[in-house]
Amino acid sequence: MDKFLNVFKALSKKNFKKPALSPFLYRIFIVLLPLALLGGILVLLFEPLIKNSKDLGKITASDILNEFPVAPTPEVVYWGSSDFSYISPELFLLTMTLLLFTYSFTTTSSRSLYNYKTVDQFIFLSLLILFFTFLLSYKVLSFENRILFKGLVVIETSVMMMKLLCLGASAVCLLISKDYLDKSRLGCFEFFILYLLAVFGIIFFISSCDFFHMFLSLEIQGICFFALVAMNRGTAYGAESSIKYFILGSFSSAILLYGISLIYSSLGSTHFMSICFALKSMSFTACFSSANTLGNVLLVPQVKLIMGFVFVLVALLFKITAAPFHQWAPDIYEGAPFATVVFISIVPKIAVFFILSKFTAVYFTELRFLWEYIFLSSGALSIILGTLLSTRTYKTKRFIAYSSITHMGYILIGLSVGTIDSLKFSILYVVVYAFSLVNFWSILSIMENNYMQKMDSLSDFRGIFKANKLLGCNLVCVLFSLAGLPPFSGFYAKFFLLTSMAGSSLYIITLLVVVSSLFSIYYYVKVIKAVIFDEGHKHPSLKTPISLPLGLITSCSFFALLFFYYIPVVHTTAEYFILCYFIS
Amino acid sequence: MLNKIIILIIFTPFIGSALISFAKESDIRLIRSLALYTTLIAFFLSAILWVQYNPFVFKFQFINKISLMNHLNINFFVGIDGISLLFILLTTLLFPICILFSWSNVNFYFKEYVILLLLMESFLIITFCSLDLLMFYIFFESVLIPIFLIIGIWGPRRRRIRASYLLFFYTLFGSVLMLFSIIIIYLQIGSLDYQLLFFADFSDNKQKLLWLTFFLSFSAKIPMIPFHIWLPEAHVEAPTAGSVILAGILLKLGSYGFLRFSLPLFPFASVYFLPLVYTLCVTSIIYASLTAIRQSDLKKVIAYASVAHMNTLLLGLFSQNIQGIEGSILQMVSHGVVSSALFFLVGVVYDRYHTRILKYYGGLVQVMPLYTSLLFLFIFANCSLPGTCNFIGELCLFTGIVQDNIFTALMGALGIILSGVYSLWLYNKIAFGNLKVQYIPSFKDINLRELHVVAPLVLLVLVLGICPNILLSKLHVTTLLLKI
Repeated sequence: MDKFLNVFKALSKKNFKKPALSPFLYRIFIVLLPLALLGGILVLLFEPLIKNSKDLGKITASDILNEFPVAPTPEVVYWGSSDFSYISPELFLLTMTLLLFTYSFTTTSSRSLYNYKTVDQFIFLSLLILFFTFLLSYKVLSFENRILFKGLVVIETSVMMMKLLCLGASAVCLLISKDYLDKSRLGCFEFFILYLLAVFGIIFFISSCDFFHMFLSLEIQGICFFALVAMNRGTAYGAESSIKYFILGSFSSAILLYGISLIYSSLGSTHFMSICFALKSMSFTACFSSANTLGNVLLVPQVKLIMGFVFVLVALLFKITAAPFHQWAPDIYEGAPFATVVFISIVPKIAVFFILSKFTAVYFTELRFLWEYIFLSSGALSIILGTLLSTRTYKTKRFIAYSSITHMGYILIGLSVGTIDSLKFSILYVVVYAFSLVNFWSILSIMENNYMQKMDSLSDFRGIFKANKLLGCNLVCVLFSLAGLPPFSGFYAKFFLLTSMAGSSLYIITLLVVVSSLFSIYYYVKVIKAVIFDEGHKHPSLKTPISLPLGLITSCSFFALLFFYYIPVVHTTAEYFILCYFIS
Repeated sequence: MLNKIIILIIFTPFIGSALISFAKESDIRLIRSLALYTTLIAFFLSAILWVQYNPFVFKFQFINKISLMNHLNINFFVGIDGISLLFILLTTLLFPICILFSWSNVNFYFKEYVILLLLMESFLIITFCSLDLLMFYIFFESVLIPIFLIIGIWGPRRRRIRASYLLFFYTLFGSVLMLFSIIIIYLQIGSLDYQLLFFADFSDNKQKLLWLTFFLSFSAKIPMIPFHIWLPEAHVEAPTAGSVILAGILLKLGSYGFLRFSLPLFPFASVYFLPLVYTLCVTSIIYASLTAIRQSDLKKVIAYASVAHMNTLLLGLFSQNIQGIEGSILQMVSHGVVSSALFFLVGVVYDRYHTRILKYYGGLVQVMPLYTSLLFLFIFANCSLPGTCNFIGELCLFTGIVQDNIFTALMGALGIILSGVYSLWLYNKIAFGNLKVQYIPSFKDINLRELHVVAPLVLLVLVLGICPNILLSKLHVTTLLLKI
């Protein structure tokens, strides 16, 4: 790091000592590299101009692909004629991130590290990049559904809609953490580069149609998260949580890889669609007498296959902090910097949940008995553990970690039910959960940065109502919505999930959910009591005015909590969304 | 167009609270008058509703349906029948006088107080006129949040937080299981439309299960022993307007739930569990009355009296004949009026002398004659003096109970005697005897504003005592066909 800084310093001064690599060459290198990349991408995009386009998008098993349109040989070049145009949002994001990287090299100096000016310009640029990626995704939304790159990537309506959601959520999370970034050691350009690369990883992950692609994008996302979590390394707690996350995260990636290799060795392909067809022809129902038992006779290839899927599931469940793979969540949420925690608690969960729902509903429906059991037990365990453990928590971010474990438990049980209605309601639950958490984090950001009130522990919530009535009211509504009390939207989400659970005769699980929501209401009400009824140590008062985007985010998500008018909208969108699964 | 009046009644308090939220906090006069006008407009509209209601037809009138998700049958569905109409009128009557009473006693956060009261009014009106079981449940639960906040913020003592916790969790515990049974009903019938559910048939065992979960929820609200512990605490620790709403309307939510849902939807189970209901009610009556005699806090006496009265009317509700049901409905209204009036009067005295302990009061008739005459009327209405509506209510009730089970009627009548005991004892201690000047140096009689607060209730008590058919004439058709 020091050498880096020296080069930095040297570059920024007018008369510099010669560093190891000549600066002239250095500059040429770091400017030419992205230009080359950009040129290459443009070449690929306009490939048809250069040579005749072949039939792109074919994969080896041709009978699978008869349903998919094949690129026609164009006489006229148009935008959608090449594979790369379908992933133009990701390409754009990647390119612009690298360009931003070089920009930051050349324009920042050691004086501008941890500086609000840096943060300002980089936030603006990152948001601009995310906005244009959003627009490009919107354009790709209107393209036809394709499988690209010989089966690595799938682009269809539901995938693009999920990408839009994740991009929007990432932009919102960035805006929420702006004030924090101004004041902390994260006010450097590396944070934004890592952030954008993590978003890139998540977006690429969503459109994966092959286990390798999924693994690679999870790795990109994972490595960026390792670094993002580790940025708080000044404190002991931050260093501890970063090491924990790194070790556990790499371990889970290793398990994922092992699972993928097991599946490959038993089926011969890592492509989702070919695995799907292979599973269909394997007649699991012959080996397993009823959908509920694992049968008495398990042939060796089937054991390998099931173990492979179990390992893959374990790694994915780790990512969404489901029990029993939830141990990392409270420590990491506590020790990581605020900006990272905001991002990590909302966006990857949406993406991984989407992929899991695709697994259960579309690709690996033959293994429903496996998914049902694992999701059901993991969900039930998450609910029990999340509810019980949060009663003895005295710190804010841990509290949110445990509550998100509980919410993921609810969603997992909704996934395990597996009907179209329950999938719709799970998506609704994820959206409501995302709104509630966005609101909560924005309130926390306002309290920490504008009221200068450290919100580390739950007793720091005291007296907020006296400081700012509207903020206190908002906080109370968020907590009630997370607890699932009527008339807030959290209740509706939970009610619909309960309906689908009871509809599949999972009565004991429904009773469990109902009882656990009662217990969770207990600890939410304790926090609410602190917010409203208690006197603060000193009443926090507004020290700096609340910035407009943050205020807008807070109030919009507040309205989303209160009024359930948007539920029909999300519902119809989710319905369209799910039906698209089956159209592709 | 007249159909939309119910939507107007529901949204008037919402709009009022939204307008008030824009007012400045220091502008108490504006907030007060805005709140009063809003609630008075709501009362006026419900009076129009009362007049326009057609009592000779058995169907839900003024139906309004806004469908949220048509294929899932989740709707915003409101409609009136005779019973709902009565309760809406009671609600819209009590809220203006609550606001009038809180004119100058609330020392801090007056704006938020009024906003919470108005929100609660909206929620209550929606609860009483909802024709969709899910909507009923949602607003039944969401009433808890304002009352929790009111007790917790504006209660006068430290113990208020404990009281609000107790209220919240006791009522929530039962309701959570009620959610489970609502889901089961939804899955069996496919819709939660009350007009549909009214004609639905559940099997005997299912009815028993569903009735039990509904019972848990409603009995915590009524409240029945052993779920009654929250009531004395909540009443004592609440500010006066909170107590009034709690006693006047929130307790009726439980019996309304029984009347509207448990009896018609699960008729077999209602008869099957009669011994349970009778036992718990009779125990509650006698236990609560006996406990009331021993209390040293003014509000606690009235709180335990509320428990006793609510359980008496529940006895009548389950007596499966028309006299019992109409008597219990009349008793609901009269209990709402009389308990509210008693809490108001206790609030008058508390505002002046800041104590509710019985020991410090005595001989008030010498210095506050007007007050004590009003207190006289309501205390004796509490023990069902003939000439007040309580008397006719209990008469009808007991006519109903006697037809079903004489032993229960005897025990309930024991409750009436005991109510006479604690009421007379209370009045005697407060009004007669020597003035306790060593505790309270100076006395002021009731002023004009507080008189206006209590006046409508006086009128109701006396008029309904002579001619209760004014109220009941709208209900006869509905109660006749309640599937008993």
